[in-house]
Amino acid sequence: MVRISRALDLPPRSFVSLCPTEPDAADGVQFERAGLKYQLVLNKRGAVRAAGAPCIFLWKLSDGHAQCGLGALRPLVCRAYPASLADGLLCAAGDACTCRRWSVSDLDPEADKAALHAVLEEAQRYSLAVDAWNAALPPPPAQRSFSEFCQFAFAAEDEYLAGQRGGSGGIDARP
Amino acid sequence: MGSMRDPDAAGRPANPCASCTRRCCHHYIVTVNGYDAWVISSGLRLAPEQFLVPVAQKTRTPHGFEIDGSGRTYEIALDKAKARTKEKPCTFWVSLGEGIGRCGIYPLRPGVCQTYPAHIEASGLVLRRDDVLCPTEAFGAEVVGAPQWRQRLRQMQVQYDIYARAVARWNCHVGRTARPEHLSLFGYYNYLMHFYDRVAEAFGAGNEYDETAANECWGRLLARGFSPLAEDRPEMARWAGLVSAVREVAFGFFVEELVD
Repeated sequence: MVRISRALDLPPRSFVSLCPTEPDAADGVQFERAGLKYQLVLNKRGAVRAAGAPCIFLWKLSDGHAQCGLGALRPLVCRAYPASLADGLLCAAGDACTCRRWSVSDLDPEADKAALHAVLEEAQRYSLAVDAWNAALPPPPAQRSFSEFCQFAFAAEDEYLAGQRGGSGGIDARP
Repeated sequence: MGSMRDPDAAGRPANPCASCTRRCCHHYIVTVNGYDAWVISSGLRLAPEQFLVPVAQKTRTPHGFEIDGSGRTYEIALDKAKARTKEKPCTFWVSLGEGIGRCGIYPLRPGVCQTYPAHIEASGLVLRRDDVLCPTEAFGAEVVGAPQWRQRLRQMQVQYDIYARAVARWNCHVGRTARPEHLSLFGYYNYLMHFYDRVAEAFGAGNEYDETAANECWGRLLARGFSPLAEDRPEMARWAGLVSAVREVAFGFFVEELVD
């Protein structure tokens, strides 16, 4: 969310929504103590029907071909798809696509494993941030807002990036 | 929204396009050159006919290609998406609601989009065009005066010069082919993709080409009415190998028609 928001100069509200999730979800964000947990999801274009609805970042050509408009900015889970890890082994989500079946032979073992490890690492980092956010919620009846969560997420990402730069010992060449 | 902006952007002017609703990506028919088409096609693995449409020219230009012997010429433009609005959005437009949206192929967007709303005068001065949809206060002289605008404009000029070469070779083929029944729009697109594959090979073949300096020099020559592809110019001597290689690309097609 932070990466897309910054790169596209878009407020998070214009492309992400909150979706209720399981009480034990590691990425479940709360806005009040003991309140429901929510996941961040990319918005959909139009009403979500039985057949689903396209991601808000999908563009579609007149011949029906559709593709992600985020390109290299797309979320890690989208980049790794359809690869997943089962007991440490790379596997393909064979029946998840409606247009074709994937098999492990379609995957690039090195690139897909690297993408999956990046997904896991980012998910773990996000879970820690969400834990910190949830733990710092004020006592009832006070509530926090989605805007406040976004500010927190931006600050957490800044802190992580600063740590990365410091850890590498390199010079920050950004303007 | 202000608090959510990148703190690194503090002190820098906000991107005027970020919240603009003037709909330039809906209003215009975005005509492109062969290089733009090749970049998108190869970058996204799309066939050109999936995202390009021919647009008939009212007045013939060096970028007008023929498909038959009728003399009618066309340009290539990005297709439009289906929409209920009178002005259809570009086929690559990602609508985010409330009139806001983003380009879905931003890193691969055509030169005309990269350089909008600026233009470069014959004198070399980069200015904001006065016929654009942008708000008056957006893209002032302090913005379009930055070096990257000049570099993009010069690169686009060079690419249009190369494209004119590609079009001229194709039109010559249309006039000379022994099999006019084989001419088609798909044939033209196919030719363009091969043409730019070979141009890319020329650029990657170790020929010296300092892009910023060479494009600047090339663009200045074009402003004076000279194309390095049409005649050797001493100003381009440093990059003569590359210029010669690009020039030869066109002669590598339809060679049987060049005998006479």
